[in-house]
Amino acid sequence: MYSLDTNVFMDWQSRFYPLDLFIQLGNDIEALILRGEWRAVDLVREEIDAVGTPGLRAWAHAHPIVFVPLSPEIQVEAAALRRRIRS
Amino acid sequence: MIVVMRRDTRCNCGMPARVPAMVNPALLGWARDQSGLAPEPVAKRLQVKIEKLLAWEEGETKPTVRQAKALAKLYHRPFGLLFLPQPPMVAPLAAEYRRLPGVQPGAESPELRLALRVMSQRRELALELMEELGSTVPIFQLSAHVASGPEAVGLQLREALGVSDEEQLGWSDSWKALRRWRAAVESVGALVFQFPKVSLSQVRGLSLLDSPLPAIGINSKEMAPGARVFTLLHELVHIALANGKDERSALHEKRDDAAWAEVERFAEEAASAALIPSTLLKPFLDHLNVEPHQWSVELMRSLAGKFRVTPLAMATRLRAVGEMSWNHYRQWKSRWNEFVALLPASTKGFATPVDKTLSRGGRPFTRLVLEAMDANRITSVQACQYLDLRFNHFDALRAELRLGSTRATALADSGE
Repeated sequence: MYSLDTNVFMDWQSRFYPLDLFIQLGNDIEALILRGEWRAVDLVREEIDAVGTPGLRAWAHAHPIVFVPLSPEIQVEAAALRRRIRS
Repeated sequence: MIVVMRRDTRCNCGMPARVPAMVNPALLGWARDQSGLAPEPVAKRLQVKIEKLLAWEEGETKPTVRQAKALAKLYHRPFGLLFLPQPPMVAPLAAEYRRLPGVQPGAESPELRLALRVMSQRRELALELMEELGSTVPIFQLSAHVASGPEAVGLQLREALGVSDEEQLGWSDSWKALRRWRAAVESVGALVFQFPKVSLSQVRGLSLLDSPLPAIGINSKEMAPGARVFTLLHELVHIALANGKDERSALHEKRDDAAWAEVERFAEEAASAALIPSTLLKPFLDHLNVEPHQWSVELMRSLAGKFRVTPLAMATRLRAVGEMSWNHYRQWKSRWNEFVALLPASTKGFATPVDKTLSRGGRPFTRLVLEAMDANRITSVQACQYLDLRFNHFDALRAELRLGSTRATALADSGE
């Protein structure tokens, strides 16, 4: 499963691979989403709302399934990951 | 960044209302303390009891994710900071900024603390990005001493800034004047920012006396561009004095209030000497041939307009060069205050998001951030955060930087 931060969405849709040009990439990602393999915590959607382009913001709102709650389990796992990367 | 995690297909179709945030309680207390906010207003904003807020800070209970996010927003900190294992080590703000009349080091208002912190962060970021990009950090070399006298210091600054007499008298409006003076100050190795949301009664301007890359902040609630120019030059004098070891940061400045008032007056007079050199003023005075008691508000406004300064700055200058006595100056100022009190409230100009970014961060800082993003030294999200601008405005921002437009609105950020 891919857990993504805001930069992935920005670089994909707003910077390098716009949806209207890179159609197959968009289709591949839609497939990943349907298989449950393309997810981000809901903080990412808030960040997209704050900095993203109108198109990306609309896409994020049209794909609520992508964004999962920041559950205690995810928080613990993220903290462990952070510790591992720092050490 | 893509991180592979274990398979988990939960969707956002039923977020529990009270998911606890596994934040570090020490960070909650630290972030509130750093923001300068007392527990009461924070608890009120979050609609919880003070006891509950303090229990979070003591680690007795945890806020929900939603509450923790609200706290991070209120303290102007990234949400992730609340999860750090320990609070970051930071120097007191007062070790950086110049002494400000009426501001007690360590007891700054929350709004002022935020303005100072944003300025400090931008300055540090600029240094980091310059290093990342292999750019040369400009050295601020202007150095001034009180003993030299305000006239000499003013002329020294004007010469260093490179604004010619002809150029100054040729500006078609005061916004162009502000933009040119700002660029001139930036060209001598200082950053210039504008900060919103701080009342003018607290500060009109401030400076961070760091080296290299000292920073000047102008309160954008000041509507008149001429007043912003005066503040800019006033702060430049303080930085030059600090560079000459005649001034220290608020934390280390030990002069009593009376002695400090003298320094402030020196900075005022030096700034007005830089903006209105006596050689440039004299022909106008000879032509007008006004007696000291004859200076009306209208006459002063007319003369000030030629130099693109405020009438008050012009009156200060006339007093300094002996055209007005202190008594005449006070009488004129009293008439001026009456005139200002009768003016209709100024209408706030419309500033686009790009205008706000440029006026608050300045062109050199904005260029650095864009360059760092283009060189993949920072992410697009970081660039948006540093510039406080959505990504879809970046094309317009680049166009504005390329064009170097001098539209009035480019600086008409009222700070709201």
